Amino acid sequence: MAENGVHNTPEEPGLRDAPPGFDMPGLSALPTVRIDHAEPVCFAELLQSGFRLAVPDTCTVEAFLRRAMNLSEDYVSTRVQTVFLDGLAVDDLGAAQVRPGSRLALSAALPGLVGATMRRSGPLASLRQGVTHAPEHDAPQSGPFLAEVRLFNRIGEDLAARMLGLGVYVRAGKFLEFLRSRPEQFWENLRSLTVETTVETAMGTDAGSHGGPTTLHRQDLVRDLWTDEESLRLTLAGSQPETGA
Amino acid sequence: MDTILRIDVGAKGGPKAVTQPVGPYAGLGGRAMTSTVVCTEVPPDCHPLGPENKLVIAPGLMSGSAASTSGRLSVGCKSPLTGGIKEANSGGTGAQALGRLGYAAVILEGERPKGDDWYKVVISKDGVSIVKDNSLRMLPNYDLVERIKAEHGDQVTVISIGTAGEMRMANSTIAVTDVEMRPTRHAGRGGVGAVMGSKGIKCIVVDPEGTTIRHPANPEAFKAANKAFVEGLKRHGVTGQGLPAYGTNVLTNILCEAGGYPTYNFKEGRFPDADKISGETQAQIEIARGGLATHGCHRGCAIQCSGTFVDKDGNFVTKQPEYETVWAHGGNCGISDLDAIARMDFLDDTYGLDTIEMGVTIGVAMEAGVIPFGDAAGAIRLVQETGQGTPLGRILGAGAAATAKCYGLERAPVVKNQAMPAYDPRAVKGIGVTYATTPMGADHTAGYAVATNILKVGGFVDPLQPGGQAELSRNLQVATAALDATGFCLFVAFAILDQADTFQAMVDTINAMYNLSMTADDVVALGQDILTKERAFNTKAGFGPAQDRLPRYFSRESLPPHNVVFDVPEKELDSVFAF
Repeated sequence: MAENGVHNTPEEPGLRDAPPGFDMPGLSALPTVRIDHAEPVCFAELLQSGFRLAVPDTCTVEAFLRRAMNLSEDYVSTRVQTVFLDGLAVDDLGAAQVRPGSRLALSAALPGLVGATMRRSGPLASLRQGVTHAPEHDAPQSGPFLAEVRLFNRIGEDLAARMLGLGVYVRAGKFLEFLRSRPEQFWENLRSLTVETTVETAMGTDAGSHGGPTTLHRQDLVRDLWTDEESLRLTLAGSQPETGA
Repeated sequence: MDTILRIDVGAKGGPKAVTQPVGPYAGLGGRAMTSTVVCTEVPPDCHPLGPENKLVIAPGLMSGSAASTSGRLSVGCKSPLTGGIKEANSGGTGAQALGRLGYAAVILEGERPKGDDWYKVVISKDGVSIVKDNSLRMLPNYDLVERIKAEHGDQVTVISIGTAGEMRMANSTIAVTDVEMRPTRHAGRGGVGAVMGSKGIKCIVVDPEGTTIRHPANPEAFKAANKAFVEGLKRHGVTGQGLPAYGTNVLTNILCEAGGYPTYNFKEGRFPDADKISGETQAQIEIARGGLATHGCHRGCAIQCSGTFVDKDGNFVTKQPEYETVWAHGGNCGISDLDAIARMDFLDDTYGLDTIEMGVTIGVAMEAGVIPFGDAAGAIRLVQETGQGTPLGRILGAGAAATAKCYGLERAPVVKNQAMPAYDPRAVKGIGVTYATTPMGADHTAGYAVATNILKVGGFVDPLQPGGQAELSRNLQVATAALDATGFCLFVAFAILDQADTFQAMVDTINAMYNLSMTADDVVALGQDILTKERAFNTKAGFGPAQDRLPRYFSRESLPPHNVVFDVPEKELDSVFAF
């Protein structure tokens, strides 16, 4: 495990060191689910439907990929061929801003005429004029926020373990739906799922004051553990909180 | 491939086969062959199901050779769906088998005798036989193939029509068996199955036993070029990684993200349950259940974009449904159940229905209130009714435009009566230009071969500047028409886009096969020639600028989430074919 609680997995292509932590009020009060699984890549299927990452401030897509997601310049330039911000295809990563409410999607190269059309600065970009992100500059600073991210195809497989290591925020309903639809092999490879509840008090945070870490079993999924809209923080077992709280 | 096989279905005493030298059609393959024969021999104003129409089946120029990924089979005729010229092509083993037997084309022609007799054609190295076999009548494709297998073994190719083709539905395909001898590959678009049905031919059995692969004129150069071509396909992120891992359905997520995924009969651009039917999810299900996420439709394919979809107990359901199929029966109909979608894919294959046309038709029927959006069981029933030819099924089998007309709806997403594929032209306007102007009717594969800035057709196009969509569409259509003549799978286009050496290797492979010295300019000229012929046919069939348009509601009704309309000027559409 690297500094700042982020797993370094050198076998994954082009990943950088972890970013420094930062404060974001409220996040530390969310339940944290720690996952110990032999094949974290199988969580890529969950990450395609969207998760949220904590960001210290408004930044360019390029800065988001490099700093918030820890991707190397080489990985971004060679593997991340298709980028959507708020549903619009991005050509210039340095001239598109991730801000509160943003939704970012990343994909490797895609087949088909439209797949090629959506590619960053590809030769067919003019075929998608209606859905191309217009370059923008000088977005006002916002302070910390959660940005929504979707990882598709090879990008999801490459980065599933890394994103879980960073700690991602998902809706409880989506997470439970994911777990309930897993095949037998998923459960065979799952070593443990533990839930920690941390509450904020006037004196600071108090980990586990609502009963401490509890183990989540497959049979528990039939119960109403959380409301669908409740947020959870997912991370790999052994990872430290990403926020500096 | 220096022989043409003509089958006169109206000959005295029953259908007769005649072989003749390729003659004036020498040097043509695939779409170049089918469109040239149709333009030369079929009166443009004839009825598509009448005796004057012909069905032309032609392997690509490279099919039957050792050239990688070259197993495409073209089928051409005047289309019962569009009323214009049609070329639909298919994977599977048919092109290789016909190529190895030396046939440049098989042409079904003449007037079917009175009555309801059905014939089976058997082609082998020993010749051609035509057998009346009414026991095959109304057999779905899968059942038919089992019958053929019992009689001819499991090493033959079957080119057949299902029940839809027999009923001469405007939505009907011609099936081609794959390497497992399943009827999973289809010349799908435009109702080509109905033309085969109108000739009374239920199936063509092609037996390549005793043949060898076609030998290149320059073996050493061929071997080197083919090796470089395969290496280029393997090296590229799409053909070497993306397609083998996820198949074409990998597009679902990104089209939804772009807001260009037609949902609820083209009313919205994002499907909320896209992650339930995406290529990523589909591949995981296939692997977890013991199916296959990587599989080729013919031997020698270097891409392997297909797979095998099995049920929860591991039993075969269908081949891996393509992106367009998952979209048409899925998001377009508000259905998020991959098992139901796979079931419909199987039904489409066995009845011989085009999955795009069928799915869009069901979407229209849902809008008409026949069944609600999201009703998977109801959608399966509609496919079954179509394949069985119930009164409702006959309406649905006539296609999306006819169904909308029967139910009094304006909102039929069609061009030249052919259903639009899985990309909303309001969000991806460039593909709307191709939908509108291709001689084939709305077709995503008509402008697909991405070679614009390598071929330099019409000069270099700056991708980040506005405008130029007509020019790009023209170049794409030209390159695609040329590629469709070769027998190479359209998916090689991705490696060609990015890797100039791979494009050159492909051209070198053709040159070594035929001892030619073809250049990029020759490829462009071939594509332009094919399109010029096809346009001329359509003009004589009554088509003009008014048919090169999208339905008006695409310019009037905006598409969420981006709330965009199709606003490419008509003048730009009319400039597409200014060669």
